[in-house]
Amino acid sequence: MTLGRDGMLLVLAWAAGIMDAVAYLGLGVFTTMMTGNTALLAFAIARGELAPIVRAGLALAAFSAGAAIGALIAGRRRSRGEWPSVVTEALACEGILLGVLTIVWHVAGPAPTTGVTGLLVLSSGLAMGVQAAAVRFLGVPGVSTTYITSTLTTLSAELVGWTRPVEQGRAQRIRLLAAVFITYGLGALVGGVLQSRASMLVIWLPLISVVAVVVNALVRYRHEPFEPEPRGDARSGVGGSVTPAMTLTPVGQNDSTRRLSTPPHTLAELFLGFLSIGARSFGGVLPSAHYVMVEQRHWLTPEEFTETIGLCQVLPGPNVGNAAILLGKRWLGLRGAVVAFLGLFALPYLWVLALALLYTRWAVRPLVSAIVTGVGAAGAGLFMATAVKLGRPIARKPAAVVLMAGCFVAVAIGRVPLLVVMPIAVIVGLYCSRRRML
Amino acid sequence: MTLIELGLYFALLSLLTFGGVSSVIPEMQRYIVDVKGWTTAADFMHLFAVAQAAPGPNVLFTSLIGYRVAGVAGSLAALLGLCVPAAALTWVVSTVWERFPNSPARGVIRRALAPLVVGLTFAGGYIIATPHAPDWRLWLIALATAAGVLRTRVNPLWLLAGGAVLGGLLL
Repeated sequence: MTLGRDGMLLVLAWAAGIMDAVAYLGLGVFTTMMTGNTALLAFAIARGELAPIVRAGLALAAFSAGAAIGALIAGRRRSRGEWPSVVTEALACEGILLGVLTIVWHVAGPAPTTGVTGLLVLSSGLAMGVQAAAVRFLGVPGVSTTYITSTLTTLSAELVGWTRPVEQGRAQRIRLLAAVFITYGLGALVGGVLQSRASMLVIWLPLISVVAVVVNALVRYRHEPFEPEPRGDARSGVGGSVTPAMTLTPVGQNDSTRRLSTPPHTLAELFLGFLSIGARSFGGVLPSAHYVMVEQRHWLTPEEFTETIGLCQVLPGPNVGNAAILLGKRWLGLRGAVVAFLGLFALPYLWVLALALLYTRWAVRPLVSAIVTGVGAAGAGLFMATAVKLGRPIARKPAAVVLMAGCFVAVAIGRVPLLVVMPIAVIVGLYCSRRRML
Repeated sequence: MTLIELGLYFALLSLLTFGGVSSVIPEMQRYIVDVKGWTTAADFMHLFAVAQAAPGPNVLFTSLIGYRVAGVAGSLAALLGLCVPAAALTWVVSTVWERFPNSPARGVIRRALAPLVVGLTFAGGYIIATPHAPDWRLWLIALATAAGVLRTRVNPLWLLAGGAVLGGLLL
């Protein structure tokens, strides 16, 4: 059900094509084609017009800075495998930049002011620069989802190579190069058509595409080992041919290094870890928190994780949010707590806000309203299921049943304020609990 | 003024969110819809649906409520209001807690809170599925989803998608 590397490259090329169309038609610069921007800059200087000089210069600077950021993120570790996790992290960064771009543009409307235009050029250039650098770290020869001149050059060279003896994998390479080229063109076409109809929907497409790639990569490569350092066993000699499924195999019970936890050392590491928890937490945060902190990064042992979550469940507040505070504090003090908390909420917050903007725009249509109501009812069902799961172990104790029913009736039927119900219920609960009735 | 009121209300609520934000949803609906009239019950349910369709902690639902009441500033006020007091409490308690690792009080507190969390979470589900008068179609979707979670191992996202399809067909 997930896309492979080539499929994701195509989605990225599609996003870049739309971005270029939208930016060129809406802002007057290219976001990925720096040849074009350099030429635009030169023309503007030749004509002596200030505004285009600033715009093209800003686009060039933003792209360069974005590429540098992308290279910093994706070059942090040498990874094997066809899709290193650092590339996903760089693309997640691109997603944040596109999220900013989309929300700013959506709020500003189709005719942004000069200042806002600058901000839009800046964020789109940064985003596409990050993407260009990230794709480079995949190491697919000649393929660039943002630099189509290069793709086309390589494609032509490969096609000429057909006259020479058969080489393994060439047909597949040619197919990929051609597909990237065509998809980019299709993206630009769709972007151009939608832009000319003044549809604000079009600026959402790059964001949606990149977020889809990030989610897809997280799901598909979730079993990839996080740190590819050789562990001294036979697998380290196999190199890149290790399949993702194989790497999940436990290294062995006698391997004591797996049992010890190694907390994050830097704020950046902590932030990226919690960013990843937030990004992959569709349908529940606890599983993704367990996966990232225990299985992938070995920040905590399973026992430490259970212990921490147990404490957070006793305290008020969002459980995983509290865990972020608690662990960030334990590892890196106040700054750690703040950074972990921000990392956890950054992506989901942008995502939910983007969804809310879309919903507000479409809510007047009866079908959309019916569908959203259906999702709401299903979400209510998820809550009921959670309540049943939590309630099963205590359903045989009369005091617990009375308390459960009392809270439900008072709050749901009687509509009594929680500020009244909660203190009474807590006092009764503590009393019963001390008397071993619960 | 609305912004300050919003932030303060959620800050107060923050200290009542035992077992996560699900247990304060009935209270939020009572205050936001019934008392203040900042939005309608149907809209409250729709925003809840949007929050369910996004990744991340359930608490993000509060940022949507804030967004509806007072825009982006409102969304931040509501989210921070709900998180910061609880976070501050966590900070203080964790210092004390790590000094007494094996206190029996912990078991007592957890057993005391469990029935409250169950009752309030169920109330949250009931309130969301009953925005106006009881509607058998909404309850059908809710109960089918709950059964899906309890009887199968399907990812909840698929169940939400099923809710979307049923909603489109039935409503």
